Amino acid sequence: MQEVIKHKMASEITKKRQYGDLERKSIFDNEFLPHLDAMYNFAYRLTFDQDDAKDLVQDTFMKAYRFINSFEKGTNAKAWLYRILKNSFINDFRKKSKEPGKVDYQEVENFYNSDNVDESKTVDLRIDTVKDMMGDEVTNALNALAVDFRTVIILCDLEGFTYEEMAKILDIPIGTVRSRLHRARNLLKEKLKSYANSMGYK
Amino acid sequence: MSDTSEKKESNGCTEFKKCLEILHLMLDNEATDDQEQYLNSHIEACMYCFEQYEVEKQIRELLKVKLANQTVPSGLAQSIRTKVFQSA
Repeated sequence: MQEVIKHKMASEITKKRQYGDLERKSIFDNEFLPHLDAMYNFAYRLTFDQDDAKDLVQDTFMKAYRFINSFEKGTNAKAWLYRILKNSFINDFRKKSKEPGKVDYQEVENFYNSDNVDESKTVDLRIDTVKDMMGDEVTNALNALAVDFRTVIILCDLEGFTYEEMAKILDIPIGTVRSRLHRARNLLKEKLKSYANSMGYK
Repeated sequence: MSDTSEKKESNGCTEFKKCLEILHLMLDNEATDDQEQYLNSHIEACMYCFEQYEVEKQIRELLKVKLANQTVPSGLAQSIRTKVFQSA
């Protein structure tokens, strides 16, 4: 987080903002707080726990307010807040978490260790199979993904962020957004496929 | 059937890599008009890519519809506001 903020500030050092007290509060109320709902849901999908989600969101808003001078009024507050939330989760939160998730780790390892992800690879899943799914399977499959993969799918499919916004939120190049999404979608389909098989679909 | 230098797919589409790439861009609203046009006319003729397209679309829809939104705990907004303004 520190780094992110420093980086942000450095890039905007040319015009150092200093909002007055009233303005800070108005930005907070009008531009930050309206995203509470979405932020809470994002936090919940990262932590799977209501109390943790609450803490994470609270943390995020505290940080956002503390660093409000590096936020340019009227710009993309949602993406900015998501970025703070994601970093808080990675830096502060995940360290505390008791279950590092061995499987997840392996998945991510494999991903980062293979320098060229085969973009033409796909998991063969039939439309009839997918149509028969009730949705719980999809939710479970998503939740079973490593957090990096889960995150890109949430940001893209649920929140509708553009690749460019995602690149900013995650602090990675657009090309990486794309390859990570691709990998995430394949992993998701693999999980769906194994559900389907276990339920006796073809 | 497929005689490109690329790895042969059993699916009969010789441009599958390209199709797949565009397909995702399209569903993510990131494709250019040209790309959309290409894929739209391609899937009219290529059953395999059409099915891929449908599968991907369906998964995205399921995710949207089925991932129930959590209700924000009542009073959270107020308590955050209070904390934040006090700390400042």
